[in-house]
Amino acid sequence: MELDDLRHPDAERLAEYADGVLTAEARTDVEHHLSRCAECRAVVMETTAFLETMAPGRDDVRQFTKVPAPQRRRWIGVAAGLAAAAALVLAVQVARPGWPFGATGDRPELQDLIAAVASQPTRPVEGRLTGGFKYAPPPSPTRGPGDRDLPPDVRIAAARLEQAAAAEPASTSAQAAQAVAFLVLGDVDKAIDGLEKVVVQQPSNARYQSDLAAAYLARAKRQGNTADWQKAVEASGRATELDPGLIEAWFNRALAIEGHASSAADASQAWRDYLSRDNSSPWAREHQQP
Amino acid sequence: MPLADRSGSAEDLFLSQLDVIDRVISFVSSRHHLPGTDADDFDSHVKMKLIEDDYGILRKFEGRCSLRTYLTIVIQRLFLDYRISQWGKWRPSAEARRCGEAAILFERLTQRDGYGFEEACELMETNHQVTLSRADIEKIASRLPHRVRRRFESDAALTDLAAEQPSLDEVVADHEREVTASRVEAALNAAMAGLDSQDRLIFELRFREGRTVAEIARALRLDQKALYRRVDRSLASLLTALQAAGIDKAQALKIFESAAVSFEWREHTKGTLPPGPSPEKGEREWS
Repeated sequence: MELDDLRHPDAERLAEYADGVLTAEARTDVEHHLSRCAECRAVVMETTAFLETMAPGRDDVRQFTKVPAPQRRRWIGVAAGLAAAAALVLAVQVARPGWPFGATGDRPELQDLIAAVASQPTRPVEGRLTGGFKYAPPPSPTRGPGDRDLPPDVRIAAARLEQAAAAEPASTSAQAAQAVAFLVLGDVDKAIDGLEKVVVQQPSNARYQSDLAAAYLARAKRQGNTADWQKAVEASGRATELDPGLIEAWFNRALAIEGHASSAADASQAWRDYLSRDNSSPWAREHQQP
Repeated sequence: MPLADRSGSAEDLFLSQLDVIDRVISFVSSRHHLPGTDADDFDSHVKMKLIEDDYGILRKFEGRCSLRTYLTIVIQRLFLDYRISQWGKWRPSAEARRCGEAAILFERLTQRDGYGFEEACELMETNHQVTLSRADIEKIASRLPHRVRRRFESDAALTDLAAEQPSLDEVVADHEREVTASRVEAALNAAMAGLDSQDRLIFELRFREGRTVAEIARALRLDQKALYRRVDRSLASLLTALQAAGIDKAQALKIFESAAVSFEWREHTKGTLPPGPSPEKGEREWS
């Protein structure tokens, strides 16, 4: 082979070489390339060095990974996800009494997502989601659903919730968490679809009603559909009736009444209702009169 | 069969491999002494690349090898991309590459970033967790070629600046070094052309990059003892070839042991090399 003809083998071919599974002829071809390409050489050498660090036997590096059967894998994923979430909650509670991200840390299935979102400069939606999401300024109203530039941690947490929901189709909390993940990812229609189903299954759960209100608010803001404002008013109203102590629901209710173009007096009263329950948090300061 | 044909499995696969992905990222960051913020950036860079295009990199995986090895190769390649994005066009010298990551870091700090020796030592220790002693770093520094950094001066300043004239002795010495280097390079090219691919690869790894025989044996799956003998034989035959070209043994040994003559026998092929490989693709050389 002439140097002019030199091209890089694909990653899988180099991995085959590192795993020692190539035929003698293919191996010679790879070595021919490696003898002339410092980059691929470094990649192979560092890969070998990494594989050496993995303890053999405990986690055999030479064993080919097969894609496991979906059902089994998902259960493992769910167990691992729940264990991780439980560990995170425990760690945070031990380190700092009281949930650091918001009013309530009462939805363990959401905690990975909440922790990932906490590093973002803005919150996912203007409304307030339940579970203890940390305060951040509202998202820019000019940004569309496809504009969200989400970091990998958020995507990974959302993907885990999606995986858990697929593994547990009968679990309302898993379905509700997946819907919240859709909302965080910017897919409002899917979020509303999921939360509406969850609310039908558990109409007396104030948190699901409140999150549904936040999702309606997001779509109303984005698409200007007056029906969504009305739905947000109704869902948040149901949430405050079901659980008058649910601060997120009062916040969403105030936003919904304000956006629904009711009278200014109604909007002012709705914000007073909220601020009478929370007058010092950053959420409250966002809406306090100067 | 590519994973793309198994709907929805790429994301599951990604999640199931997160532990491995994190371990490789951590390994790479540590090997290259990335400070905390850079390590975090690199972590995000890798995960973003693995997620983008609907887990495109994972969907390309056909299961011909261990997934762990595949991911390790991909992440190592992503590191090369990341380093280019961080370093720009700056490249470490051949000698720094030969001396290892600590030397590359030292050269970057002093030559590219303009830090003095003491500052560079301090940064290496505090930001990059390099545990070498000052004496070791001094040894590294003495081996690295001195590069003059470009800087811009105003016209007024240049008018007042006396032209720097090297002494006659320096000119003669430089000329002799250049002549020796080009003779060595030509002789070495001719000698290396006679080696087969594996010998040439072993030679590159051992003498150009300073890898140990044990490392090479592991990567190439060769018997270590036999490899020692093979390296000695190859070295002897190269020395013979160089001596036949009129380069004495002392000069020839200097090539392999010191930075006095830069070991860059393939410089002339630079223009023919392809751009760096993409993380997962590469161009398939063998279908």
